[in-house]
Amino acid sequence: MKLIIAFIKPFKLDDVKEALKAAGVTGMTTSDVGGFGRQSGQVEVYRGAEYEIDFVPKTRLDVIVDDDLVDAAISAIETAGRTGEIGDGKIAVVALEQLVRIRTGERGADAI
Amino acid sequence: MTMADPLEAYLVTRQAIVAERIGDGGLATCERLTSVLDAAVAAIADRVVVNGGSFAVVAVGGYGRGEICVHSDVDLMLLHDGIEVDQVANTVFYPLWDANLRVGHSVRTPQECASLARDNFETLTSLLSARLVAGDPKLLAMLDRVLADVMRGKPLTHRLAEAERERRSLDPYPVLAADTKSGRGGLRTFQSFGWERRRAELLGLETDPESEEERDARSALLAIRNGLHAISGRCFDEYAIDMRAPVARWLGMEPAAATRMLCAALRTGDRLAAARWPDLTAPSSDVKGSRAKRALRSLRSKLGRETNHRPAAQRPLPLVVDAITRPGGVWLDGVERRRVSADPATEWTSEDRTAFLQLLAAGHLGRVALGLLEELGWLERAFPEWLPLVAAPQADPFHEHPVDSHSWRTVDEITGLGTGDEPWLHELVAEFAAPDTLRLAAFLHDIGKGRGGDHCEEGTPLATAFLTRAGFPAEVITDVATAVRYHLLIPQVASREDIGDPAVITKVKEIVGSRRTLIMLTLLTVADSRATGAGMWTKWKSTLVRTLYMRTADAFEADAFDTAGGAGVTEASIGQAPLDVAAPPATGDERIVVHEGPDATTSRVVVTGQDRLGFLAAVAGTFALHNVSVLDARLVTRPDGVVMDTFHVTDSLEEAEIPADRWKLVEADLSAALRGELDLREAVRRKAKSYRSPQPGIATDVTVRSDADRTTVTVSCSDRVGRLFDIVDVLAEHGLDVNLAKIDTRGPEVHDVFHAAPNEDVAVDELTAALRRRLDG
Repeated sequence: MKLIIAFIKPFKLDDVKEALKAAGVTGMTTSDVGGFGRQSGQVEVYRGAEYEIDFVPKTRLDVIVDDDLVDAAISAIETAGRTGEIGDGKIAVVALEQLVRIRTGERGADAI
Repeated sequence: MTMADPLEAYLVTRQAIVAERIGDGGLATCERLTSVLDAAVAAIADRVVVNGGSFAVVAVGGYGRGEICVHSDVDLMLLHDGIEVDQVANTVFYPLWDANLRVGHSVRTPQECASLARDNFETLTSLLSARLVAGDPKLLAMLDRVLADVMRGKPLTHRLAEAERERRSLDPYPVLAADTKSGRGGLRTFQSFGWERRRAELLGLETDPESEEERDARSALLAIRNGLHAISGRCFDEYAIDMRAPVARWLGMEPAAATRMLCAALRTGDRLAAARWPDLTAPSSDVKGSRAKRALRSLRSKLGRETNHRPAAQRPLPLVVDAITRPGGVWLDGVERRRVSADPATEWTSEDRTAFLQLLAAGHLGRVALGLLEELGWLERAFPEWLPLVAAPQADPFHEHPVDSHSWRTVDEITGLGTGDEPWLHELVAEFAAPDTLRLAAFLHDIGKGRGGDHCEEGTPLATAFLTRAGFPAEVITDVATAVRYHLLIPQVASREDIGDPAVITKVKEIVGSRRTLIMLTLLTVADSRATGAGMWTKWKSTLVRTLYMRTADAFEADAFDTAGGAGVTEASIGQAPLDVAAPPATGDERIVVHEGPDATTSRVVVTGQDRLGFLAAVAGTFALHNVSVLDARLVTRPDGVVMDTFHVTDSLEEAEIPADRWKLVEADLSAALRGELDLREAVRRKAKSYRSPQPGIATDVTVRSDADRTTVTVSCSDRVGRLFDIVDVLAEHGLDVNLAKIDTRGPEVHDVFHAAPNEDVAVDELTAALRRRLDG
């Protein structure tokens, strides 16, 4: 089992969600986050007034998948989340030791 | 516990109710539980043997009222006349404890009850619900007598009204995730009515019986509470979002219907409380005065006589506005209520429209006043479009309030944006400059909800119909209809579309049509989000919405320049000009008007005068001479040739506001420079020499583009004293008359863009070189 953590542009959430569903992913958790990568934030200028965005709004996805779905899930996020512009985000994959469905007590891949 | 245990029947009944609702879930269910428990407790009490003296087992609190819910505490008091009670108490209470019931127990004589009731309000109200379950009825009669004595010196009404006021302060508007017991309009409110009746009964006073409406609302609250207990398996009273569907299932209802039933019951409690204690709606409570006035009002109302307050307005809307301003809360007397009830709600007058706008500006008091019109049937005649929103549950789980409460909260939020915690919105509110239109838009933005279909589309004709019927001006109707139709555009685009894509910005620009509409929709977006619930307006969302606003506004500004063909002024920018310079000043009549800046160390100054080549250079030069540092600026020239340049400035030597007397010197030197009596170039050069050199490592970048429409000069370089003067002086030297510019200083760097009317004589290479020489020199 793997935990896939992805940071994507907020407006790409619907596309990524659909792509993940099509790839066989059955659930995910999302949260609104802010961050910066190599773009180091951004500066908006309007009417001369500088408006510095230290942390650019991003959406974080937490997706738990069985090992055989990892590549498909990564590919789905990568393809659907890409605009080709700076700030498209990152995907991280973490190995999971255990997973428990609280309601039923199921363990491991059965709890996904 | 054995089958012979008297509590077995109660536990079995309770389990059966949890598994499958028995009765309506409300009062009938509580009565069933109460009667089974009464029988069990009476059977237990039968086992007690006493030698001499007497005792009574008395239900108090919720059990005493017959409102015991599935997992409520069992509040029991052993009332005695001084007997040895240990054995009695053990016999009565142990079986209850052994059955794992949560028992609120006490052992007292009537005199001890009186003593505790004098000192403790909660004990007093609990005892007001006392009901004999078993034992000697004389003891309960004795308790009634001592309680009556306590009541004679106890300001119960005031305490109950204060408790109600506190509930309202915790929930300024009714909420969906209501605490059915202690929340605003919840069971505690209804219990307060019961305690007041019981007090009157004990004192032998006349009292009002519980109305059918009150009983139905109380039963509805008990039904939801029983549902919450049954589903959660414990004494849980909050109608939390994840409980709604299972509670509704337990009640055999659709979730929306159960929620609507709860909202309506809470609203009834709220309204009955306001009617019982009108000073709840007063901004501050003068208890003694308001009580006396209330008594007087009540009497006059019964007699149908006019009260002695100032002559009241005749028409319903001005009348309820008048009611808001009255001491002692929002109320109408009997004559006024009859007048409102009989009013046919025909065509609105100008006075009506003004009153309606005043109601919106009055926030939660306006809501109370509108509630009076609703109660008296006037609202249904005048504004039927509003009624489906009343206590209507929201479809989206992130909403914390029923639709009508949310709309009022949005009005409150939009009213506060001009002075709120986000300074970027202050300017938008000031620029829109029509607070009443904003409030109308906020009030009506969800008018289309609950009718099926897209509520933005459904709401547009409804809002238009109402405002037209009410006789509001056409431009207001157009603004509000647009706001209703597109109030989800900004939040949806900001979070779901690529706001870095120019095509998306163009699409938004085309839909909103004008900068003014963009501002209105942006403000409504913020107010709507803030009113939706805690956590709905986050820095994350604010960043997205603000970025979308700025990019779209920028697109409008670029358009304005194109449309003006370099003439350099738009209708919007004329609208922003200070009103006191409407008449074009004569040449030489330069004026500087100073306004407060967005923070304590800066000012906004508007420089006006007759435009001529070199005007901006003269301004920039004089500013430099007097240590006025330009943070940003907006430069416009009206079609009649009047310059109206706005500068956001601070002191260049220290972070401080520039004192007023310095501006007089600036104004005098500006006039001198324009008359040719002050050599600014030399003066600025000398001044710059005496200050430190610009920060090294910042490259100078100059781009000049010239076409048939305009000449655009973009400059990036290090900042230093007189930098703006250097640039615009070179532009003036080359015959370029700047009529639109964005001036931006970011720390040690300058990033400026200047737009000038096209000049065929300008040689791009030569101008670029001249600028570089001056900036690097």
